[in-house]
Formats: sequence, structure tokens, C-alpha cells
Amino acid sequence: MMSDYLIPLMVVSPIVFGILLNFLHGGRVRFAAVAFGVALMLTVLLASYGQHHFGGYGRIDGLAGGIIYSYSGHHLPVFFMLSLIGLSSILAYLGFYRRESGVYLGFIFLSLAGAFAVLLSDDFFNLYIFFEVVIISQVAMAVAGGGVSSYKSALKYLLAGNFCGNCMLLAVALLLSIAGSVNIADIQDAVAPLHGGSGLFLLACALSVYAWSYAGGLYPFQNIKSALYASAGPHASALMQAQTKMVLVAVALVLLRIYSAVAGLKELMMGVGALAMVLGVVMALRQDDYQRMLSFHAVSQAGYVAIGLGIGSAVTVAFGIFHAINNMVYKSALFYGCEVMKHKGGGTGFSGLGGFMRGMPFFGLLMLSFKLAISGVPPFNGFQSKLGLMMGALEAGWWEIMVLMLLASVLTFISMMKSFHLIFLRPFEGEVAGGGVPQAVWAVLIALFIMQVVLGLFPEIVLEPLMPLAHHIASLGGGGSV
Amino acid sequence: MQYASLMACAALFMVGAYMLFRKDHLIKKVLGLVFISDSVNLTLISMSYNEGGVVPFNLPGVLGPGGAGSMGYPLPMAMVLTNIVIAVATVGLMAALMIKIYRREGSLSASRIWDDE
Repeated sequence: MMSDYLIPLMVVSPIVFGILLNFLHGGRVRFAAVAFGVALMLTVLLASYGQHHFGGYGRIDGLAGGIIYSYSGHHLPVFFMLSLIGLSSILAYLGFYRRESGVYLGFIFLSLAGAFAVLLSDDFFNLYIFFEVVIISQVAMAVAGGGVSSYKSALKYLLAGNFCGNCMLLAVALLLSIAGSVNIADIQDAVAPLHGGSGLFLLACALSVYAWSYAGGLYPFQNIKSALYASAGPHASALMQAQTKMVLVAVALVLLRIYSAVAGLKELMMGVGALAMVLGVVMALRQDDYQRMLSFHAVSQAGYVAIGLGIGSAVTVAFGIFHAINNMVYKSALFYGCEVMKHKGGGTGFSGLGGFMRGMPFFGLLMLSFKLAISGVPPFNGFQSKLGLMMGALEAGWWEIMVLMLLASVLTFISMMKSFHLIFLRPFEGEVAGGGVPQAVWAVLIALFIMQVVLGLFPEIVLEPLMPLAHHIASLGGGGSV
Repeated sequence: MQYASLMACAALFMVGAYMLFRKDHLIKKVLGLVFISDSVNLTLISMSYNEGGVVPFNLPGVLGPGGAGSMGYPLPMAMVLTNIVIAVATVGLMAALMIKIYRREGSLSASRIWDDE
């Protein structure tokens, strides 16, 4: 049995870091938070591929004897990006907020631990536990944003999250009654002879899909999710949306592995994805607050990912995950930019923003590149993933979905250019001074810019490690409808 | 599995869902969620039931002639314990948020609080 202790350390270390940060104050919090962020990134890079069996249990009577974490090639780009966004959010927080809180930083690490565990776990119950950990820590981060509106949106998010979490646990219970195990590979083996025909199995599938749509902020949860993003500090929203994309991917892969024989599953996944994509971008166009607009775009982009995974062909699964990674890059950068505007302009409402291009031209150009990337304009990474998704949809015979994606991209472009005009180009009475942006934030924005260009020009860096997984997932359901 | 306890699970879930979706008061909504969580826990416990079985502890004199096969299935019990901890954390956080909202708004009516947004 191959075992690498760096695999569980990816989950254990951020939990320990989070606990330690609770006890630190002042300058030590700053140093420790950055050091822990770097250490987490190094753990991700140094871990070798394989499995870790907790407790060292092997298989007992043909079933997994304990919790198993699997770390493969497709995890690396995802984990690297997630740890990078985690570190970037910490740097943005420390750069802009003078009264740093160890408790708040602790929740950032706890949320990272949750997201890593959801992706690593080969155990459905363990996945559910860390799904709840992600929800609770995201709520804590949003509440730290302050103000009664953050309390209201956090409570709504928590109520919905608790209900969906219970739906997921009920699905786990039903699968346990069928398979006698909560290990995903064991469940897969046990449900294969059912061919999607058992009532309990179908009920478990429906409950899991409902929980998944919450996890990804898809229809009907798009407003709840975007309200949470909008009420948190923008650096926290950046991290939350990145985690959401990863949890969306992780749960979708579990759904495809377990329920691939259920007729209509993929169409359902595509449907909720398409609704989130269209409703998200339409709602974004109506917003008069920049952070709220970005929040709806985050939901809309999650729709693309869900569509890619829902179509279920090797191409769309790979490009769906690639789009999730790309989205982590440019969407996080846009939220960090929003943090800059919030501190320089005194708020994020469009009515109070303007004239940024004159005072901060380099910042304006950087933001323009991220806006072009999210709209799917070449040579940035968003173009590659959106093109791949559209081509994949067309290949799979879903031309209607392809047209919807194209339409949503055009609307995203319009929305992004509208906000660029209002914030950067519009003549504004108040003067925006050039200085005051922490150097760490500049470094983060430039690093993300380089990353989006590199991924746009060389998408194979990420696509190659994703392809084995994509082929495996496609082979389960044969691609398209079952 | 015990069908009587599964019926109780379904009833608890429906009562909880009714309170969550139909009641306006936030405390009633949270209580509804507690009912739902309890119904899921009960479902899990029902699955570990083994007629004539013994508790899953390997103590001297506990195991009958059936050996380990006479034990109840311990996995769902461990899962329920974990879920109770999660539920306590979530309900605690919801209660804290409700206190904050009540202090600012003077009400715990969901329609009033969320219609303001």
C-alpha cells in the first residue's frame, strides 16, 4: 500500500495553522499567516501522487476499512491554484486591513482545509463533513465583513446549506444501505448491477444533485450564493468563489461516478448549469454595485463548469475543470481589484466610483485584461476554456447549449465593458490618487495576469493532467445521455 | 432496518421541511432544521439495527455465539456522532446570527428581514 504523509497533511496542516493563528496577535499573526500560506503551497507541490489510508486499514471483506484520500495528477493544478488564491487573499487582507485578526485568518485556513478534503476524499461521508466545514467557515468569513446585511445573507446561506447538507447525508445513508460502505469506489461497485433502477438509489441521486446545486451556487441557489459573495470583504469573496468552483467539481465527479447509470442525470446537471449561467449574467447586468455584479458573474461562470461536467464527454469534462481553474485566476483578480476600488473610492457602488484610469492607468489595464479574460476574448485563458466547452457541446450534439454559452459570453462582455466604462473611463469629480495600494496586492495581480496569459497560450499545461480523469469519467456514462 | 423507525424518520423530515419552508419565524425555521437533522440521524441508526444483536463493543461476555456478526453495524453510529457535532456547530452559529439580527432589526420574521435586502 502506497502511502504519502504529505497527502493528509494538505488537510491537517491548514486545520493546525487555523488553530494556531487563534492564539497569535499583532506582527506575529502577519508573519505566521504568510508563512503558513507558503507552507501549504509547498506541501501541495511536494506531495507525491498516491493514496493515504487513514489508520492503515486495508480492505475488509472486499470493502474499504477506513477513510481513503487519493491524490492524482489532476489534483495538482487545482490544489496549486487554490493554495495560491488562499495565499493571495491572506496578502490582500493583511495589506488592506491594519487590525489583523488571527481568528479570521484561522477561518481562511479552515475553509482551505475543507476544500482540499472535499477534493481528496474517496469517502462520501468524509466529503459531507468537509462540505459542512467549508460552509461554516465561509459564513464566518462573510460575517467578518460586518454589517447587518452580511448577517442576513450569511444566515440565509447557512439555513439553505444545512438543509442541503442533510439532503447529502440522507443520500449517503441510502447508499450505505445499498452498498454497506461509504467509500465511493465501493458504492460504485455495489450500484453497478442496479442499472439505475432502484427507488432508493434514485432518491439518493435526487438528493445528491440538490446538494450539488447548492455546493456550486447553481439554480435555485444562485441568489443566496451571490448575496454571500457580495456581503463579504472582496478578498474573502475571491477565495470563496474559488472554493465553490472546486467543491462544485468535486461533488459533480462523485455524482458522475456513482449515478452515471441514472437516465436524465446529465441533462439535469446541464439544465441547472445553464439556468445558473443565464440567470447569473442577466442579474449581473442589472446591478448598480460592482462587487454584487462580480458575485453574479461568479455564479454565471459556475454554470459553464456545470454544463461541461453535465455533458460528460471527455472534452467537456476536461474543459469544464479547466474553466473552473481559469475562473479562479481572473475572477479572484477582479475581486482583488474590487478591494482596491473599495479602499480608494470609499465603496463599491457605481455611483461613487469613476476616474480610475486617470489616477491608476496600470491598474486599469490590468483590470481590463481580467475583464477580457472572463468575457472569453483571446489570447487569455477564458477564451481557451470557453472555446473548448462550446466545441465540446457541439461535438456532443448540444448545439442549443453552445448557443446559450455564446450568448452568455456576449452578455458577460457587455457587462464587463459597462463596468469598465463606469469605473475607469467615466469623467469623475473626485480625484483618484495613484498610491496606497499595498505592494503585495500589486504582486498578486501581476502574478495572476501572467498566469492567465500563460494558460491562454499554453492550455495543455493544465489540460494534459486532466485528460486521464476526463476519459475515465466519460467512459462511465458513455458521454451524453444514458 | 426497522420500518417503524423509517416511518418516524419520514414524518420527522416532513415536519421539519414544513417548518423550514412554511414558517416565517426564524427560530421555527431553525427548529425545523433540527428535526430534519434528527430524522437523518435516525435513518442512519435504523440502518445499523441488527435484530437480536449486541452493542458493537468487544467486551468479555458480550459477544454471543454469532461472534462479531451478532453486533449492530458500528459505522452509522460513528457517523451519527459526527453529524451531531456538525449540527451543534451549525445551530450555534445560526443562533448567534439570529441574536445579531434581532439586536439590529428588532424582529426575527424572515419575510421582514429578507424583504429589506
